[in-house]
Amino acid sequence: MIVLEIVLLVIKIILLIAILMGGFAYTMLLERRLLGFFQLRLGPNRVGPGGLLQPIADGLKMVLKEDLMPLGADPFVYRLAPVISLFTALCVDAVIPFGAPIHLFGLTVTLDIANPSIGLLIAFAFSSLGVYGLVLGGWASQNKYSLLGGIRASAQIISYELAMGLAVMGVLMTTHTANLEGIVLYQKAHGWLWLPQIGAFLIYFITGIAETNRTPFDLPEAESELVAGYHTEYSGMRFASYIIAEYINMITVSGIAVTLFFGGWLGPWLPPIIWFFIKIGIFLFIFIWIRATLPRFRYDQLMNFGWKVLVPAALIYFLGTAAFVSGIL
Amino acid sequence: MITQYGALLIYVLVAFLVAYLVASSSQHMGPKAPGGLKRVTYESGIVPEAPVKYFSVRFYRVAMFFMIFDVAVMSLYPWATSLRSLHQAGMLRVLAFLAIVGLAFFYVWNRGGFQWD
Amino acid sequence: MIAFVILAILALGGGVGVVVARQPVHSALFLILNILALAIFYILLSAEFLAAAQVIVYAGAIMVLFLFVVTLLTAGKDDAEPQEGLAGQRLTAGILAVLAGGGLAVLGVLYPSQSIPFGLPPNFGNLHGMGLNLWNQDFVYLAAVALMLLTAAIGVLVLNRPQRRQHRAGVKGEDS
Repeated sequence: MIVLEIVLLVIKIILLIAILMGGFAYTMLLERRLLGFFQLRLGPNRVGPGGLLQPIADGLKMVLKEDLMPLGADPFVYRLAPVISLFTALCVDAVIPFGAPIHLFGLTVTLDIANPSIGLLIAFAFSSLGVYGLVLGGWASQNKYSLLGGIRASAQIISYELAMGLAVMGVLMTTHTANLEGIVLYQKAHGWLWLPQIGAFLIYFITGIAETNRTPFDLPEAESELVAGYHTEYSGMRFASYIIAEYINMITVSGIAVTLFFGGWLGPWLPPIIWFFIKIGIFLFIFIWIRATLPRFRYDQLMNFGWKVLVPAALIYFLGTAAFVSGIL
Repeated sequence: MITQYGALLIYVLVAFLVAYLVASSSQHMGPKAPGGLKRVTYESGIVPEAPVKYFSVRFYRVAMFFMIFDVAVMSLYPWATSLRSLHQAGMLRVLAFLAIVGLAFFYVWNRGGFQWD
Repeated sequence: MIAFVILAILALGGGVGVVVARQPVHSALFLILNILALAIFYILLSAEFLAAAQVIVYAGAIMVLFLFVVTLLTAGKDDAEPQEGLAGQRLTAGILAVLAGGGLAVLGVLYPSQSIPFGLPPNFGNLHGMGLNLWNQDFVYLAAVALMLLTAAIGVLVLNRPQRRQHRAGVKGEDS
């Protein structure tokens, strides 16, 4: 029995990493094609049918690039930083349940790597480690723009983390647990939480865009002022690691949003895991849509918005939910 | 519980290995043609002179305020998950707690601590 | 037991690395290693919430602040290292550290298992247990924490005062 469990764990680990890497590759292709359509052009459509083999061509191109390190860089930290970024992005997804538990050979298999009782906090803990990849990469490059980009990125991420924590609290109060599977099961019994928690959901999604450094919050890589921010000096697969981490973080933010507010794997007719991927796909489309639509914030606007608008708004919504749940109202 | 975290630990180790292999793959497979100005940092075509010497103090201020209020948010997580059992008394306690932390927040706000100018 | 030994080696290695490393950023990295090893210790002791809080608060907030300071200090590496002001401070610090650590170890051996006279409450490690204890009879401590945070916020503003409002109209929106 224990052997079977270990085999299942190994299969789940391989599957999860394959799903995340494949998800990255095709989210990137989707983004390029959709941005093309938004701008009345076609996007990459030459490699394979409809451009479907484009990610493989891109990957090969990246792998076969020369690996450069700027003069005077700290070799250990310079090589470690992209690894940290990609590693933390991969780890966050370990606690997200991708589907309903399935029964196989007399065992109940949950479709996540681990299901600890504080799953949401484990996810936040891993994602809070992701800051190091950016700030260390910026520091180790010995480049003014990289350092400024790295520091900017981490200041932005930590500014929006407070509002994110407060927004998520409403879900924890309502469902009485921090276990992600428990949250989905609560929504199965009592309805999806996006409607009662609509304010919290909007704040969560805005902070999620900011945490992944996507437009309109992509100040750390604002090419008009910072060249490319923290990854200016990186080339080849080290550069690609940062990009992979960014796209996997998008998938993660969507996955947590789906789990917390949109019922996770729940849905009629189709198998649960298909529903989960459909919901994530809708969120990814919204990410790309926002990128194609909105211009970039100015940095002072970004920080003021985070501290003076989102945190008080999240606090007010938090108190409202608390009054409702605790029975005062 | 330990089995859950054991699985998580194995995944974390595998993920680190994968991340390392992905990030270092072009170091092993890419071409090596040193020379030229390749290793000079790119600063929009201008020859880099002195490295950065100082930074705006605002970044440290933001980090410190984040540290302060992050501790407050962390102590709210246990409260949020057990609010059903704490009832009104828990609500009153959290109001007292948030009154003190909120005083700090609005004091900082009023003195311009969040102003990014 | 095996896990304990591995983690203890990791944590001790991190601690020694903080002191030994020449480059301040490497010291910070060793400190992060130490913090993560301690977090795994907490999980082994079934204090899950403490482990998550350790990572989020220490590694996610406090060490980021440290890194900001350290990257600033070492961004311009061309300066020669200035002469140490206090002669023999490394030696004194080492002796004091050994004395403190040894003293703690001796105390731990001399007075074993007298530390928890009233036993652990049920579910002490996870969120429910923490919430029920911390927000009921132990609320005094949380109130003290809140007061400490208020003091810290005031202290930050005293040491690091932002510019007053009248200066703001001048150069607005200019980034650092």
